[in-house]
Amino acid sequence: MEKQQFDFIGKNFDLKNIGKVTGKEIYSSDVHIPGQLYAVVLRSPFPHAEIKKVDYSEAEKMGAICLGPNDVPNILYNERIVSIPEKTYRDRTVLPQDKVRHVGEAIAACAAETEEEAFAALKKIKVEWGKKWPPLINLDEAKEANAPPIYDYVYLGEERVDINNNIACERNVEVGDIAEGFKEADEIVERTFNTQRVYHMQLETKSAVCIPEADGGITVWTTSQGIHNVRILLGNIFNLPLSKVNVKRITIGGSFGSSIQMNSITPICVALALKAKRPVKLVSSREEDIYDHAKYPLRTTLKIGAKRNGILTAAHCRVWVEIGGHNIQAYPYLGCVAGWFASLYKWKKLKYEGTAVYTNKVPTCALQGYGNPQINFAVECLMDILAEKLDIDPLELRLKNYVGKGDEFWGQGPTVRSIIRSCGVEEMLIKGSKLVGWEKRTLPSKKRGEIRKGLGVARGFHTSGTGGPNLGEVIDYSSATIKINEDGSVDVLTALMDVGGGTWDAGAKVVAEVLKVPYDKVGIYNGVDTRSTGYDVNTHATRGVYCGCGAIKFVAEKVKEILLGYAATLFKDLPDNLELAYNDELGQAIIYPKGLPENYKTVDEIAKTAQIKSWGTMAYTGSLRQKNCPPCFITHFVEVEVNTKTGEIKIPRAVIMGDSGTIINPDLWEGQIIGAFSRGLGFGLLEETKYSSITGNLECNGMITDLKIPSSVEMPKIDSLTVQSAHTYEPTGPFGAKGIGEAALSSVASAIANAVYNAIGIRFYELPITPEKVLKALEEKEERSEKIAD
Amino acid sequence: MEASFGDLKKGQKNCQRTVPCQYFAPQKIEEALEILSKYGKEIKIIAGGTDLLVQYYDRLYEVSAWLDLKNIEELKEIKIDQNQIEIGAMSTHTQLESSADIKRYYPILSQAASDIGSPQIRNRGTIGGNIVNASPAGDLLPALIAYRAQFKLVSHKEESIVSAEDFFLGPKKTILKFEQLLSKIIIPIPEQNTYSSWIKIGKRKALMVATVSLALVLSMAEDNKIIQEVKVCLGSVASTPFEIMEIREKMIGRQFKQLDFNELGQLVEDRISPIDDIRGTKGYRQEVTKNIMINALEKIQETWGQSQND
Repeated sequence: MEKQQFDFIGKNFDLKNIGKVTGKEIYSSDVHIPGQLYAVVLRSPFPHAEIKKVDYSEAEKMGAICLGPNDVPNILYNERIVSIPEKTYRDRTVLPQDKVRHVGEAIAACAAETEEEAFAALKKIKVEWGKKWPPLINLDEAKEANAPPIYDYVYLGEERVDINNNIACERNVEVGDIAEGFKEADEIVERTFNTQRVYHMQLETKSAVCIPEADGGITVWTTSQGIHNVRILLGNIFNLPLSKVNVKRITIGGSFGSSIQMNSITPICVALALKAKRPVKLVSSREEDIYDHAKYPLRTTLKIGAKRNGILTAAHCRVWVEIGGHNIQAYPYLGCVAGWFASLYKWKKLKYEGTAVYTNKVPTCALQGYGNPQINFAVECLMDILAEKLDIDPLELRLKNYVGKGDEFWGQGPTVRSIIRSCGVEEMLIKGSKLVGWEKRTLPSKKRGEIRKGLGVARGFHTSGTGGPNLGEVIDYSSATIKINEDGSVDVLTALMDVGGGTWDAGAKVVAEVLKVPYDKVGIYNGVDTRSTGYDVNTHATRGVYCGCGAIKFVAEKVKEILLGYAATLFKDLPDNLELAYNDELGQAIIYPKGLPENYKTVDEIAKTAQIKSWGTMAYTGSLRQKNCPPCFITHFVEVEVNTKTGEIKIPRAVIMGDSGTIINPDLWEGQIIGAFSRGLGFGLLEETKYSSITGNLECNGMITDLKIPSSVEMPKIDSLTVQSAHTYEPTGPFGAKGIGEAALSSVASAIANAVYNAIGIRFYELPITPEKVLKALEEKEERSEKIAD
Repeated sequence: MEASFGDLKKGQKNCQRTVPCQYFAPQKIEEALEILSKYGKEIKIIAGGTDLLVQYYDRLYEVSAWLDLKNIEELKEIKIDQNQIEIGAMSTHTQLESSADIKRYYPILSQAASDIGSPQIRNRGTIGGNIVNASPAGDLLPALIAYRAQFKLVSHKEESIVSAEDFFLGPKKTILKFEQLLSKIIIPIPEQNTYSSWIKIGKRKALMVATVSLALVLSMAEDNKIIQEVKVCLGSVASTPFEIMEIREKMIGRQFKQLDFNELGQLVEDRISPIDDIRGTKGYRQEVTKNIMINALEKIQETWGQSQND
């Protein structure tokens, strides 16, 4: 595909969002409504206990407005409504009606004139507890026959579903007969891998502000990746028509997937506001936020087989995941994990079995990958193990088997299948290996010294959105309203969120590119809400650019038609005979008759004329469903240094290759990749939210004093971090673009683990690879080799 | 007093105190000591606040009286003469990190200060606060003990000087009485031919509490070959900073180049009995402590080796 010349796409401009840099940006936690009350939440100290009674009379005497189980609608819902209703499990109410299911679950709430008074009132709320059960912390004990049931039943769609052995849901997929496939294999390897729970540590803790309106409606600001879904849920729970529910789009301080679902504090805030008949503001502290959401931990038993020449013949993948006290997205998660696994390599024949289990822990939800980094760790490590067994270079094994251009691909699960039309995997593996010096790599047995260096590779991908040729289990469309203002500037009204990846900047560039209006005259950072925007399912699943900006492009082209129509009237010509272009000298969009550029009129002029002559606003509202979710690919080459005396692992160097088709924001694209590298570093080496099996509480007690994520000092220095893009073009994406957000994280930890093996000859099957584990493994290895020597 | 809850952005002061509270920020030590003598246990002393505000993060309203030391200039001075240095207790970690005198005479005190938190924390945190907070993992404490620091304690009635190693009683417990203030840290100027090493191990490279730490200060005799004096002090392996006394017999009077680093590392490991906690396991701490003792000696060997060649 020839490289297109763009006026705005692919160029770096000054950041549009000056607010973020100067501290002027307003987040939900900054919203201040005169007369607002401050809300605080009472959270359970017990992991699994019956609530007999909540007595807040003392708190009310202090002047607080209180909320208990009887003050909230008894509606069972799932806070994530991205999947179609028939495939959505429901087990949550605004406040638990019968029992709490994890330490930190909200039991009650109160609001007062000041935060201090609210905290003081909270202390006066008395809870009468009934039966208490010991916490189910690990997956195996939770599914035992005699384990206390966390749920007796839940709902799937409209059907009641009994829960047995705390199994929340299951998902199985089969392609062909794996027994046959394994028969054909010359070499078979099988291992079990475990990844851990981590906390999102998104900068902004979950918050909400709600104004109860005079007509019984509500206006809400809240941390959200999808304001329309929040609107639908609130309308449903509080029995309000959506025309009376308005959720504002407001900048979010990062998310990593923790606000795909409506956050648990949002309906609590609304309920308090409706009861108090005054605005209420609820801001979670960091210590509370840690009890609200966490990353899915995954246990994977993976068995793969290949012929002597490295061609894969079969794969059997068995996964288990414990999801905490609520089912937020476990069923589609199991489907996606199947998809990430199935679409990495051509397994030929495969069997996937997935089971999700309830435990008395913080409910899990997507964290930048939705199972992808977890399963990638299993697959990419096992591929290295297979490569060693077959005595084939790990790169060659991958090149022989990857799912690429022209192949069928179902990254989002078995019901969403499409054909890959753009793929830079080969280019990235080959070029990346040269940049990092892969040929200089030595075997673990050849390494010497206290500090051992190792080089590892891993590759990953993520889907750009969740669209497919046929409608599946997932709702996926975006809308946009675009209008040309009376001076030629442009308003873009979209519910698309920017969770830090530059989605809004991309949207503005797409509009600028279509309408040729300069980038800084496209207004996208504006105060829209559910009332002023068409439906957008959510900014998740790496769909912001491919789907969200895809819709923006679609609508912009319709506006272009209207613009050319008005211009045609002025030129007394046909729209087809006119050219719309960006004039660099003038710094403006111009329209001229083809072949006669000197006879131009500026778009500003045309807009002004349209107003003066009362022709009407040039605007269009529309939606787009992408019928594809093309993979954006990533390859990580990582060099590690293992200190065999302290177990510490440093990362001095990395080469990262990405494939996003056309890259709309080069600087922000690179930023995503580097930021994800830091998150992957934490996931691979450092982070874990551990639980006490006695109290069921987080070991860190909610404090991040001892729940660290990597600082900037842990990263390779800027000069030692190479980030490059492949040269691809996605024909179904806006100007050839795909996403990158979740692809960027998918293979980081895997590459680190493979590099550690190359450094010290020890395989780690469990994340994080901490200094303790390294030292212990080194000791055991020494003991073993001493035994052999004896 | 400024309110300190979350909603103070954009100049909005929304919080009103429901509990009456006193706030003092005297300019002279004498005034501070007067106030202390009146309020005793009931008043909270605040220096940089980086430990205190964390400890009281959700119960600031429990504090009914504050004594803020921020205006007492004489507590912020660092004075040096030919015998000793006097560091005011309100000196910040940034001051320690960047002071030319401290870098020259007490290099591992400066290094330990630079390992604390982040630049923002170092700009507010103070040496006095680090000492009085008496965390078993306190970053400055091993170095202070290794350099034989002394602390000047003052009350409205009297003054006393205690040595650092006698000051700590247990986690967050010291001999400091309620009416006393730590005003100065006095450290003798080290002998010529003094070498030192500081190593801090933690879960990451910045903004973390130590999993295990080690300060080693040794001085050689005039010939620069025989060890005259040595102090090895560890952090995070006991309820207070922990000096390994036994190492002195093994090292004092010996030639540096005759030392068996492995043996000394093993001795240190054998002497400590750390616990399992959220920052590290007992086994990990023991093994790593041995290794960092060896590393500390290796670091000194490098510098000492260079001085042999001069």
